Amino acid sequence: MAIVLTKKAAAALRSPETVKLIATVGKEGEPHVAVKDTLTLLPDGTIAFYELIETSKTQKNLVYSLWFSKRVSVLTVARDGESHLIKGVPYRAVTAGGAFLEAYEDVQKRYGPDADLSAIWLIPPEWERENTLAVRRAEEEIAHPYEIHMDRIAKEALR
Amino acid sequence: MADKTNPRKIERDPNWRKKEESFAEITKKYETVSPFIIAQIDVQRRGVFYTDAALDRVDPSIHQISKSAFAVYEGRGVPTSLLLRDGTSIIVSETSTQTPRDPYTVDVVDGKLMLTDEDRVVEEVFFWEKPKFFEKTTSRGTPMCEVLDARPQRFSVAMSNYCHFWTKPGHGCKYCGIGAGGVKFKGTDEERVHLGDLRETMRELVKEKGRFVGVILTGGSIISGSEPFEDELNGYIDALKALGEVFETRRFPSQVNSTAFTRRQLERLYNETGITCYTTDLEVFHEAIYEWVCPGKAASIPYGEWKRRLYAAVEIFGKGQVNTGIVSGVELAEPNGFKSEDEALRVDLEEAEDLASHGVGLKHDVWHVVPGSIFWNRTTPSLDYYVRLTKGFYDIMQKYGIPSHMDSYRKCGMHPNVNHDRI
Repeated sequence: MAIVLTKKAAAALRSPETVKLIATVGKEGEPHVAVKDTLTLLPDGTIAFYELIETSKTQKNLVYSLWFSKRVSVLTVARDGESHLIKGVPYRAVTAGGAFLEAYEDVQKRYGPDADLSAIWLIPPEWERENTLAVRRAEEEIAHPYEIHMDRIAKEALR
Repeated sequence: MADKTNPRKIERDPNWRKKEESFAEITKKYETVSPFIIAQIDVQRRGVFYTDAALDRVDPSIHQISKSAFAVYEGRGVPTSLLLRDGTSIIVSETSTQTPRDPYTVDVVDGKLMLTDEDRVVEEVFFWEKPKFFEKTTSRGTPMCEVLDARPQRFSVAMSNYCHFWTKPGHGCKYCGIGAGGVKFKGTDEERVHLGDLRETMRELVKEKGRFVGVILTGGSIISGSEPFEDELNGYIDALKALGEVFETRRFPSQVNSTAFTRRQLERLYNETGITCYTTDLEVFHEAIYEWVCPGKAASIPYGEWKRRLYAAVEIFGKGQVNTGIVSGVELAEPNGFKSEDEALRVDLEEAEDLASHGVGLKHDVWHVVPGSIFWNRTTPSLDYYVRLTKGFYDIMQKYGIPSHMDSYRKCGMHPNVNHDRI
């Protein structure tokens, strides 16, 4: 079931300043992760990923995920450490038609005439969380207050 | 009331669903085979019918359409074919409705164009969009859409509309619905592609950024020449040279699908043009059935010789640049085909292994029983058979490390086992 991303996650996906990664699994079950700055968020809330290399491992794994309904993960990381993790199942690979041709020209403007475009992957987000360390630590302290090393709660005088 | 989905009034078996496993059962049975590829196979096997709501979605200014011959469509243009969500093309036309099984229905459900069966949604589908050059004409007045045809990512050249095998009665391939009608082109302006038209169309086509990843040239066999099929070869060489004029590189992504040329002819084809890939289809992987189904081919080039020419092609073009195909299902045609799907599959895969062990790639086209063919009243095999064949070809190609890019979902789209090679 698709969700609407939080404003912070949406902004992170759209920002040219954040590092964006996509993690996928293929038929061998081996995880694969790659930095992909062509990940973005469309106005309708769908994640779009522009794959530039037809036979890349990410491309193969995305096909596998679409075929067999497997989730992929997208991670954004900003310079200040703000991070968002989003998951979803690829819904469509746009490989032809008007939208593809427009995107192809955009890719060539952005990366130069040697750039190619293989597919626009559309991934409706199904799950998200903020992955910034401070946020995760605060969540963990509430959810699992006793999953800690005991020296951290030892009396100050005894540390 | 007449069945709108059966415009040719083909006799349908009302109990056919009880005699074979359904799409849902097959996708569950073969968990490692893409359900998208299984859908492609089954739709190509059973054909499609478009509802009024689906046809209302057709925009002739955007979509690639063909005029229907059937009154049920009331003269409206029907989509040339369909795309699935993963980019897989379903190469299916209204002619495919000539099947004793019920066709799939393309309808609009919840605002989306959907492939349905018995009122159940199977998959979302999309119409093909036509290239811009389709709207233009050459200086001779030929519509460019008649010079080159297109699929979503590749274009094709129909080299010859007249297949010489059909000149001699009984020599045409029995599944072919084009060859019989091709004799009318003999000696006319339309018999072969016009090189001037080709050059002009290519100059328009290459302006379309991001549209095409390859070209295939194919056509009817031409026996004539200084030695058999030399005129056919010269036609391909001339056309490839004309195509190559628009590219900066010597070689460009291209495939010829022709009659099996001799080693000398293959060397000419490779050395004198910018071609990258070569296909010559055996059509049937069994000598005696090949001789029955393709008598014209067999009379000119015996089965064993056809294979030897494929092996020569691998030496010239390289592994992964040569393949051969079958019209899958005709090997089971009555009365001379195999008597059981298991036997047919065993022989198909044994022969496939032999070919692949020599570096020849494998592909199969799901047999459409088409009007005008000698086999017009035959029945195609079960979906289970096609999935087993698809998986078998795919596994053999993997075993022998033969790449399939030359005929991929982008460069052809017709071949389920090749379309499966994306993961």
